[in-house]
Amino acid sequence: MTAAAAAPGAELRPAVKSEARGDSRRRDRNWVLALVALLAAEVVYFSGTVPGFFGGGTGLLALTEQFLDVGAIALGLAVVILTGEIDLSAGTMSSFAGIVMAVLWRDGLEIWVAVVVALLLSAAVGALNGLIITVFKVDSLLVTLAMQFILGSVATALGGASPPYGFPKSFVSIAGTGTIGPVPNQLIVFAVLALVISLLVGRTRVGRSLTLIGFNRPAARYSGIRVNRTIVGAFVVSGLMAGIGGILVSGLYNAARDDIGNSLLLPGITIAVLGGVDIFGGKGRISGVIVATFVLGFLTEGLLVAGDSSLSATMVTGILLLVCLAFKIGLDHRRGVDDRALVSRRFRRLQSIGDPS
Amino acid sequence: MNIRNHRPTKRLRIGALVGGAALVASVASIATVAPSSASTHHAAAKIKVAIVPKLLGLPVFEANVKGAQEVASQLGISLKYTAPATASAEGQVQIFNSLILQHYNVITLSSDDPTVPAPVLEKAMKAGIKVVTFDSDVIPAARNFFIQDTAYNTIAQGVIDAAVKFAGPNAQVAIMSSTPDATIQLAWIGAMKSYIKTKYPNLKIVTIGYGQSNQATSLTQAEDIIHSYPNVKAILPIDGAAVVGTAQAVQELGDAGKIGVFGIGDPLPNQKYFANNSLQALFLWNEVNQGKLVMYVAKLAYENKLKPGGTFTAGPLGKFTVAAQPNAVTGATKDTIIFSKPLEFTKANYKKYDF
Repeated sequence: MTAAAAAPGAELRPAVKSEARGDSRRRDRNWVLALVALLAAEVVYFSGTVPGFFGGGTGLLALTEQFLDVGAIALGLAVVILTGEIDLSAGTMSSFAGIVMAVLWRDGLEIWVAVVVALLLSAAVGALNGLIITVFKVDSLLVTLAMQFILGSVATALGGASPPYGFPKSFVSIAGTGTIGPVPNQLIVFAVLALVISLLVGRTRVGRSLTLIGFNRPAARYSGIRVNRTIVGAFVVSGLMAGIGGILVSGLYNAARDDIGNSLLLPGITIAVLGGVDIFGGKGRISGVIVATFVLGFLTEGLLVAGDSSLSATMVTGILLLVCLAFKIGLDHRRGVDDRALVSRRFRRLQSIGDPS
Repeated sequence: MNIRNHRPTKRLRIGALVGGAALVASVASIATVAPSSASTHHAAAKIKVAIVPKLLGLPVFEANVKGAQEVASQLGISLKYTAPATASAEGQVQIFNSLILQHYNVITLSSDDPTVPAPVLEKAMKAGIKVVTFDSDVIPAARNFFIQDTAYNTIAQGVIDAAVKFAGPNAQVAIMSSTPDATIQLAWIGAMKSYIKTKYPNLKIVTIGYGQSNQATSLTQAEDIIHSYPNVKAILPIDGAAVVGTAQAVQELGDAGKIGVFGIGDPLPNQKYFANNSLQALFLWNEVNQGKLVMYVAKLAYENKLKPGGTFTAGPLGKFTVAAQPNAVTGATKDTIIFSKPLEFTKANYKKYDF
């Protein structure tokens, strides 16, 4: 039905094997299954009741263009959130990447070269985020908050009074509105990104380290994981994914704009959390994030196509998030997760921020 | 870790699935209860028109919509009013996309950005939908007609003449705008500069502040200007939020009547500043009537009755011309309808208008 359903599930294999971790893994998998059911119900409901939503299948596929940019950003954010950190600069990073690409292209660079430069810069800024956080031991919330303002201002300054628009056809087709048959190119790009991040988090040592760092940082340190290096890596991934999101959104609108990414950050975090990534780190699956991208995206589009105002669409998104989280916590509770253990784990995590490494 | 090992039973997993399905059903039913205006009237052969201002809830746009609603039914139009909750071009694009899928006949809009909505509007035109912009245009290739509020130079001249009358032709003045790339504000600033060059060469614009269409930011920016440029005799706010912010700054710093405030904006949100003398004059057009004109143009565009260079009559509003005006973004000239001469609001008349 959608790429979400077909996309490979990423399985977390924490380095510390324990019965408790095994239980939490099953819970994560059940959460993904619940999301898939939610997605299916949503698509069936809207296809049945909203004329123009399903559009013989192609309409449904075409709708994905409206939200895959946020999905790309959410994938990167999920990687950072897994480690227990947060990246608030992801939204303006998208604006920044789009503007850098557009300005370089206007100044005569080949468009794909400009894309590569913009993405390298995004990754570099991500690395800078990670370095400031780990070397100076500043909370990621503050560092990336500051970076958010810096990137936004730089984007505005670079973009000037009339940011470039009207990119070459080949670029707009691949990054923006082109399709192969009925399948939007953006969906293919997103599928590749989702696969790569899934494999990275679910099938590699680095991925397992990310999760363990979020779950129990001192334990990760004692088990020989290079914690700082891994965190910097997570921020590079987040920067890069936000940059890709910015390129996609510029391609979709065939225009760069200095504030284009501002509205992408909070939906990105919403998708990551809805996808089952624990906001305090240490738990979550990329497959959940992928499914959540479509759950949230189709919900918003379905309501809009049904003729509801964007106000009620955002309201319903908020309600969905709250209800889902309450549901998930209830599910965790029934499984006998000890709340005190969770609290003390989180407290240890906070303490470990101040720990010398 | 104090987590009891507890194998999930099949029953629980099924419970999760059923719960998820129940959840979507409940969310969807909330959605259908939430107000949706359009789909209720389904009279035969009505023209389906959507009006999409920059955002919901701004008094000037509400006045446009009020005018549009007043004439819609007599023109055979089924009107839908929808807009993003914040002034966001991406939010508008999502709305346009949904309007295309709902097979609207005409989309009318005041654009948050000149270029970002262009691809989706071109898609709409390809699908046979007429696109009419008002207030803030997009690039001409992405719309059929543009209704310009008033000629840029007339309103710019009105503001400058009023400021010179207050502060003299050799004064220092500052401008408060919204954002550096706001289409219509850029056009006004350009028109002001060229008018000053020819008419008042000694009048000096010392700085342009940007309030980001946000009252609090506008207030700080205006206060900064007053502190950094003590010789400024007049401030010219040319954006709705900038007017409120500037007038408030002048009032709070005790400069009411000493620093003149002459701007472009609507009188309703600024009544108290007119009353306490921290705002001298505002220029705008009749927003309610403009909303009516948008509907007349929508109907005529749908019926293919508007020709470039031609004229048309919009009921009691009178006669208008479809002319070639330079577009504020590309400079290209295409199918623009100028709505009216500016109205001037002062302490003497501000109470008469409810927008």
